[in-house]
Amino acid sequence: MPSRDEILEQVREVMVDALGVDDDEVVEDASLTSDLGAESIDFLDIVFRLEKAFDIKIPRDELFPENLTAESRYVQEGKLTDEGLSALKEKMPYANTSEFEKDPKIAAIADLFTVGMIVNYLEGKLA
Amino acid sequence: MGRDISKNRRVVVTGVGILSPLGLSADEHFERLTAGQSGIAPISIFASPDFPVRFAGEVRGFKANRFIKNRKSIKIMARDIQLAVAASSLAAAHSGIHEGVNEPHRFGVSMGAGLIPSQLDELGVAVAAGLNADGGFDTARYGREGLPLLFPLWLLKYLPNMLNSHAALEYDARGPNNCITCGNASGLLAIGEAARVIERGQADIMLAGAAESKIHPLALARLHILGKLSSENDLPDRGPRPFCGSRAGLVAAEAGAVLVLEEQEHAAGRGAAALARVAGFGSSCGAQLSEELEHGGRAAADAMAAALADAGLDAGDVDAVFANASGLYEDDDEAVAIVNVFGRGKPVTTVKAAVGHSMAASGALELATAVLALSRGMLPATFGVESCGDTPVDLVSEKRRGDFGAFMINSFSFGGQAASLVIAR
Amino acid sequence: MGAVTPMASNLPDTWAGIIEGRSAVDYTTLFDASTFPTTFSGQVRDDDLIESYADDPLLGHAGRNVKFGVRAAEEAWEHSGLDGAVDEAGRFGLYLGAGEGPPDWVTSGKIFGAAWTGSAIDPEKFFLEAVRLLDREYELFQESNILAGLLAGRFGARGPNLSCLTACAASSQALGEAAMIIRRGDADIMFTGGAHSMLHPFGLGGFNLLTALSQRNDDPRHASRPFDRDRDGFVLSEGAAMLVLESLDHALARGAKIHGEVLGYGTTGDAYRVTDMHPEGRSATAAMLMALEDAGLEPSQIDYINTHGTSTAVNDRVETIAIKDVFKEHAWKVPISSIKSSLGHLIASAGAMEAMACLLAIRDGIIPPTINYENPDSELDLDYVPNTARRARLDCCMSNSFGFGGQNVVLILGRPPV
Repeated sequence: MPSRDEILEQVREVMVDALGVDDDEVVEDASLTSDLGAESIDFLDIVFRLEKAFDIKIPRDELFPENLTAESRYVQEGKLTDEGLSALKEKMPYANTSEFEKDPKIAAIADLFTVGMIVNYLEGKLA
Repeated sequence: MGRDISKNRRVVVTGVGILSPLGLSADEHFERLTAGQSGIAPISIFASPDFPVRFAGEVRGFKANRFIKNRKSIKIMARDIQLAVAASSLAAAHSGIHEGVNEPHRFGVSMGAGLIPSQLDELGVAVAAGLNADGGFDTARYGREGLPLLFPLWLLKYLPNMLNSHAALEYDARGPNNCITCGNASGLLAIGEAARVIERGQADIMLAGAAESKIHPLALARLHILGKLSSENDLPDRGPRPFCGSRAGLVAAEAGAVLVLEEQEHAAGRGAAALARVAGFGSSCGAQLSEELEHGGRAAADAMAAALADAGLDAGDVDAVFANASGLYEDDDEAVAIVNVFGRGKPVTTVKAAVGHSMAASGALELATAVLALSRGMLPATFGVESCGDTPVDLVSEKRRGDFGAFMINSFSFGGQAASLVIAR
Repeated sequence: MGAVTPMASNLPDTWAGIIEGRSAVDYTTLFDASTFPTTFSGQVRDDDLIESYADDPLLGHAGRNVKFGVRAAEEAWEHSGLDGAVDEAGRFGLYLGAGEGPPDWVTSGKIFGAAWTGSAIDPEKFFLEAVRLLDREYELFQESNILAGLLAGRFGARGPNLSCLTACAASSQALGEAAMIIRRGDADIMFTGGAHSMLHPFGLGGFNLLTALSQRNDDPRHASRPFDRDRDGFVLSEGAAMLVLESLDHALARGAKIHGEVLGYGTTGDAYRVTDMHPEGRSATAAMLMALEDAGLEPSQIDYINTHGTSTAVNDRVETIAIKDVFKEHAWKVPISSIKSSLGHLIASAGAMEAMACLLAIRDGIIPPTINYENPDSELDLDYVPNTARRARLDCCMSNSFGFGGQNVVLILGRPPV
């Protein structure tokens, strides 16, 4: 099994190719959308490239779950309810939600998708 | 809708961006063209010595990331799109637009695009996985085995409206946005349409042009089976020689050519120099389906007459014609049309003689070149026609300096569309 | 007016099906799509239509899109009563929003197979095989401008002739631009509309890879469900929609039956992201405002909005937000619906079909429903005319079309002027 650093290095290459960013921008804390400029179609591309780079299959909705706010009981006044928060944590066990939980705004969900989250996911997948 | 459209708003050209087989900027293109050089050279995608297609007009040394700010998007741009966005950035810079304009919703885009074929290796890996044992294409197998191998954003690379979308993104142009797909007439029609949008007041400024690359095995095969490609593989230095009795077909090419069109007062208000005025535009169609220009050139003559009438000019006010002439049989029909509209003796030239036929981009390239010729007082010669002997029109065989007042530009499609546009000082 | 849709190969039956609330969506049979992420579509199932052109020396070689376009144009032509009544061919033009032809995938597969080296395509082999195997006329018909040239020949139109392809907004854009050509005085009669079929392995597969299509494979008829909470993408359909526009003076002078008026046209670009819509739909809003200004109307004068309503999560949310932004409190009063719930998405021809739906809604005093609307989405709280058509007197209707890539077109259509 590759080390965390080795995984990060390969993820970095994927991000450079998929998002046209420089390698020094691809750090664990970097948010794919706000820091690296990804839009929705780029998530498809990232999954495609990760599958090739690591020779794995990533089922739709597993790495980048969609419709996290579809249930109306998950959302109240632009924030996730407790029920919504636990549903999110269940769907994204590899995301670091500690900061997000303090103020679970819907608009901030996108920032949970970080380079580090992908590395966490891959560590689990490759173990 | 009983309201008439105002024709009081004048449209001027304030920027020119060109990527052609002669160069990676409008200056380089025009300097090499007027120096009598040709951009036609051995084709890069085929190597066999006796191959049926051995020459082309390619844009050499083009690196998209040198021109396009949005680096991430380059991966989803086919070469046609890259050429359009790059030519847009050159035109915008020339016009003094760097990030965008003050009123983004008054800034539009109108592009002409061709039928963009898929990059072959990219699709090939998926199609190959969809073949059954006897080599037939099995769609169920393609769905199961092929699709997962295909780049998921594949489709976006080949949609014609993406020329517009990416150009608009680069410059935050949120105004009217149209994409003309009329084969070889696309570029000139797109620019004519852009002028109409400004004239009627729905925008003040437009990126207007076209790009296409036919340097692709499928695109070339289509042209070959239609009998369009020059068979003159041994004499590339002579070029396609439009209107000459010895011409042998068109030479495939690629290019991107984009203008900044602007309402005259708007240009003056921001201190942008007007290089030319879009004086008149007309289009027509031969009422028949044929992949050749209508015999006798009636649609071509109608388009020219409509453009002249729209400009309020007489035939005598036009100093020269930038012809569609591509080296095909139908050059004769265009010649008849030119003589019908202008009489004998009108100087005629075409950039295609030096660079080949860039199809959807060709009319935009002829027009962009004409704008430079008008603003610089230098009419380029028609490459390679010195030894043609008698031709049905008066080809410009040597470049001419002059204080020109107006030029006519023609562009025709395989399919019947004929477009003409007049620019004036 | 004329149409070929998955519902029917003419406009009256298409309209009747929409008003009855039927779905025209079913499993794809044009090719084996059973292994694709989406196994259904809005396929035109009228094999007789395709067959009827088999022996035509020209159209026998054409793709489905061209055959749909010719049939819809013939219907519109007959409906217009213009046959033999065109006085000046040079003042009769065309502006279509026509799509490219579907590729000959059987032959393409053979060519790719022959040129595949195991890791790449040999370009010379590909060229030579393509030259050997491709049908000359079929390939010519791939170009999207051919239909406009072909129809010019069929009906004797020598005036302005254009075709645009701004994705899902193409035929709306064509209609708006055609109206502008008449308004400017450059033509008296303009044929407009669109024809398109992306229902082929590369089109279906391409949209599937983008995850743009519904994957409700166990229940295709309920797959297109605009504004419903459980919408999961659009349904790919094919077809054609054609209209004849005419200057009012010209139509009155020849005593033509007038079916409605083109009142306003707005066109903008998103310039936001390649495919993501701006979260507040800023350029969709701008297009609606531009069309209202062009028509000289206040938002409160719009009686019905035929939405773009694709049944994708993002479009239907953003379109709702944009409508609220433009219409303010009137947004909750004006009925809005999507006929894509019945027909699926006709891509380039969708906008012209939807403009005709507005004209027919005005004529018949009936608003077409948004079918398959079962579960309200908490954020989407407008009057979507769920499931059943509704009687209403309509004077002015708005039709929205938003292209994939950010081209937004809005048309406003009204009653025939008295």
